[in-house]
Amino acid sequence: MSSYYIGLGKQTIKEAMAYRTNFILSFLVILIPLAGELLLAKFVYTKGYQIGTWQLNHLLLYYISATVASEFFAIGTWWDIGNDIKYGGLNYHLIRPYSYFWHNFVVYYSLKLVFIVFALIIAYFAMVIFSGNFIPDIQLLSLLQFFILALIVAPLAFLITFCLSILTFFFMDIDFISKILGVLLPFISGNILPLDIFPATIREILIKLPSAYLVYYPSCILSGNYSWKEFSWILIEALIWLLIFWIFTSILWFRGRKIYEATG
Amino acid sequence: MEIDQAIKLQSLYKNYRVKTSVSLFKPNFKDIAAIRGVSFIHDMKQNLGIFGKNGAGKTTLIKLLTGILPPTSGEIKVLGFIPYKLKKEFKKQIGLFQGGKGQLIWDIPAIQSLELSRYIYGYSKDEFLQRLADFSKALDIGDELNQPLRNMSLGQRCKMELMFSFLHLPRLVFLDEPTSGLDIITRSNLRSFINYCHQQYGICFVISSHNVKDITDCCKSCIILDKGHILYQGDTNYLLEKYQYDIISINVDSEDMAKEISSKFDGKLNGSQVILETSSSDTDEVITQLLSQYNIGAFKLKRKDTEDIFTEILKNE
Repeated sequence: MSSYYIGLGKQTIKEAMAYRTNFILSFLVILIPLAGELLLAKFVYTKGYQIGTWQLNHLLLYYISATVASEFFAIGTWWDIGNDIKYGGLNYHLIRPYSYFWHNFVVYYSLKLVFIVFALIIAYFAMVIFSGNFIPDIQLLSLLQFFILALIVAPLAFLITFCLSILTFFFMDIDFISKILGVLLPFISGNILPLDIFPATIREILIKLPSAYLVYYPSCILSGNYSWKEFSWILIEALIWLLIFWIFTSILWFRGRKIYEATG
Repeated sequence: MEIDQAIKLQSLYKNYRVKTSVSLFKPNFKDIAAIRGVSFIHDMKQNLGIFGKNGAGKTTLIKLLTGILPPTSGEIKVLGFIPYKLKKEFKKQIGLFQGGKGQLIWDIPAIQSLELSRYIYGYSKDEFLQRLADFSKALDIGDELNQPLRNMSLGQRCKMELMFSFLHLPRLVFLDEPTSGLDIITRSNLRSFINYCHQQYGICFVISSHNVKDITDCCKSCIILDKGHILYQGDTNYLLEKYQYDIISINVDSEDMAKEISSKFDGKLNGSQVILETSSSDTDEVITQLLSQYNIGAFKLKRKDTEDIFTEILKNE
């Protein structure tokens, strides 16, 4: 069955490249907000202000890392899954000998993989332009921790997306989730500002939410130093969220299948 | 052997819960019975046709048989499995095609999409290419294989989707309205292809269709559904023979002779014209008798087509 997921990944990448102009221009969505954040941070620091305890170089690296992390570990409602449930496309998936969850996981991350390569190129050039160094100021230890965390966060991000998307079984139209997340997520995930600069009570809540593990922690790991002990706690908490969402998603899927109408 | 019983249903019911009024606080729901106490057994030797009007329960039955939907009550076994448990071994042995519902990737050449079949079901590239060549020849497909689906006509897309449904050569394939929206030539090609796959690869097809010819050309066995009930289950040819009538219109010289013929052959009278309805198997004998006993100059013979027969069965219920 693994050959199926590899084959599916290849086909998905080919499909993503079918419309090259749209594909290339969609990077403006990454580029424009990133440029805005970096310029704003630089402007604030040149005026003598400081954001929290962050040094400018670390903050710039944080924003660049956050841009990459928020692309790769994005959550939301996925149109494909919602439509499969609403219009009966799920029928074909149900009768095939593969897992619908892993099928979508592969499609989701194959699309992301193409995107992330370009996002990394943008991130690298942004780093060179703003730091003036051709070799990014990232510790090897941080890189290693980032990749280990990514192994937990990538399934977590997809699990949350899958979980939200299969709410279509119950509500049919889940546009409201996308809208709420679109407003909230940049703040609560640490995409706009690092979470540690919020007041203590809010910070304590935000850094325990699953959204923090998607952008804030991966970006902090890349832009700063975490001891292995601190990192282990982050990893354990991310694993707990993974488990919680796995159980929650399984219940939703089981109940959703019972009321699935298989339209068409 | 139970495994030879492709399908075994016992008192199967399926209800849908539908919203009957939209309200912010208390919407109303109503249960609608789509399948009502359906029981039948079908073996793997013949294709099975499911015929019925819109809303008769054909598609629901297919969804129950494939395991997409669980039944409300009753027993269901397909290839020895309980379908809605969706065991991997069961899924490997079935295929599904739903007319008008795409399953292939729209933007890449069809051949690349079709190749996913071998990844899903785990057969070799050589087998894939051999089957593809065979299916393409049978369906008269050429260079279209290298075109993206979005550049194809409905008929071409339908052929690709159909191929994808059973390139893995499953034992049982469910086709839900396979010829819907297609022109008569493409319909005829698809029917020939289904028959070819049945004979060549031993695939058993379950075909639900509005189109009578899909059933009569491809399925030796059929069921007729109406409002979730089975009206008929059995041999398609037997059904056709049983209900096959010929209409003989005879113009005679006098009204008296017309009355006599009408009374003798249980016909309908229209002035000096008599209209006789005879079972097709009796037509020759009736005509011989008429010609030998009466001075008849000319008559018209019209055979009811299969569509009329199925329509009549549904109307009579």
